[in-house]
Amino acid sequence: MREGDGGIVSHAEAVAEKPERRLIFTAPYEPYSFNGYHVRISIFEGPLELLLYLVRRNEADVREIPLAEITSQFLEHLQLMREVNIAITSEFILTAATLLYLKSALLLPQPEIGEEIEGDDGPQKLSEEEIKAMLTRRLAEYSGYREAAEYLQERFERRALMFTRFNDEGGQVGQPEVVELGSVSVFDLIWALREALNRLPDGSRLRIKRRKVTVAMRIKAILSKLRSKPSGCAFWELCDDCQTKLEVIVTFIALLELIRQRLVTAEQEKPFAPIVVHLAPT
Amino acid sequence: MLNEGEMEQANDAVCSQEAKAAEPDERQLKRAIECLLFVSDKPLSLNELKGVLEVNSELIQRLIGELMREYDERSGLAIVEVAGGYQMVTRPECAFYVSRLRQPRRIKLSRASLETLAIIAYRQPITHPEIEQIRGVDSSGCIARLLELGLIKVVGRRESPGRPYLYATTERFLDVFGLKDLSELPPIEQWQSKVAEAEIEVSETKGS
Repeated sequence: MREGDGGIVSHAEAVAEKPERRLIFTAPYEPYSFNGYHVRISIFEGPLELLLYLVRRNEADVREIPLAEITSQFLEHLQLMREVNIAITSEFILTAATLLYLKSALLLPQPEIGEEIEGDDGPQKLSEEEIKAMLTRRLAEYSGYREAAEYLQERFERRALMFTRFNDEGGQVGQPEVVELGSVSVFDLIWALREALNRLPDGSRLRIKRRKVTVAMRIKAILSKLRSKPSGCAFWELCDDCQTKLEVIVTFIALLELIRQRLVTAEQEKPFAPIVVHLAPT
Repeated sequence: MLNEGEMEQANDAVCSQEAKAAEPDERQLKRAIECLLFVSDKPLSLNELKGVLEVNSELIQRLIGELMREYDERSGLAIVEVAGGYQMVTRPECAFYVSRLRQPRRIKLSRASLETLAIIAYRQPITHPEIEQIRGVDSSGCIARLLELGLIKVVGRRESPGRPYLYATTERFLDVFGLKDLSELPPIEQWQSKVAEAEIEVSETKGS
């Protein structure tokens, strides 16, 4: 099969002929105008809608289409655009979702005629008639509810013509007020939040100051404490005035620094006994 | 507004034996029912009427029946049986004028929401997945909308994996659709069998 003659070559055939070859569908082939987002994958280059059209007509194998690749390409494309174009994006999502659906449907096991399926009473075989009957039953059930919905609509319209007493708020008595949210978008909500935040008084902002603690400060504190207690202190006693984890950590670093500078000594009588800290004899 | 003295007089009248005859006068009772239906802001159940009137329900039902006929003959109002009770409403013929004075109730339900509501009405209590199995499409939005409108409510959970919520219709549903109770819904089978027959016909024609 030659390129440009309008024929479709499956991926497998294309690979057999020439691995790096790409099929390019040109305008004459298009049954009607496709002008949406163009994809570029190994077996196809052109508008995504056209790909869907071909899959629907069984002229392209949906299993051969790398949807993840198409999607990531589209996301790159989106990043290049200055703002999200809702029309293009939603069109893409619709087409891609349809392809995804077609692809996933192929992966699901389908009860075939004569094949055993798990029923309520264990595996059972379904004949063509039984499958037909099952589908008809489900369709009938669903259609029944559609008719019922129409019936409810009529009842509603008839009932809406009968007014009950009004309460003082102008609504009908006993009818909780219904807020129509249909036309509210996310942006309206964001806008409302910003408005609400703007209305907050300035004084409502609290500033929390963190107590500043440095190794130098803790060294001073340790030395003064050890001077007042010649018998020595346990480490936890040095942390008596600490209020946060960070202060304990800084105190520990300060102690290590003091030991390194040989300004204090640490003693332990035996393993796991408390460590006692002394001022180093000068 | 009544002043205190008048209030006391009125109270005396209500409590006195003259106002409430030893053996209730039917004419008086019928007027009382009319008053109760007039002042009530929601459908009054037979039990509520019984509690107030202190007579048996057969008598109340008979008198309401008479009232309904009288209203039908001469009044712009009607007494209807709705949501398990009785309610005084304006006649549909007068809706045009009434709606000029006050806006009619506005509830917008999409076709999908109505369909979902119909399924819940007939199959209640029913879970979300069961609804979707019948409809074949995602129904979360519809269920949320119906909950928001107070037409359905959660009545419990099914003791199956995931413990899904069970949905059922509310009194408001009956009120909004002018239904006496759920048994007033026509049997669903009439529509289902009709469709089933039609389907079979189609498949037979195809086969031949």
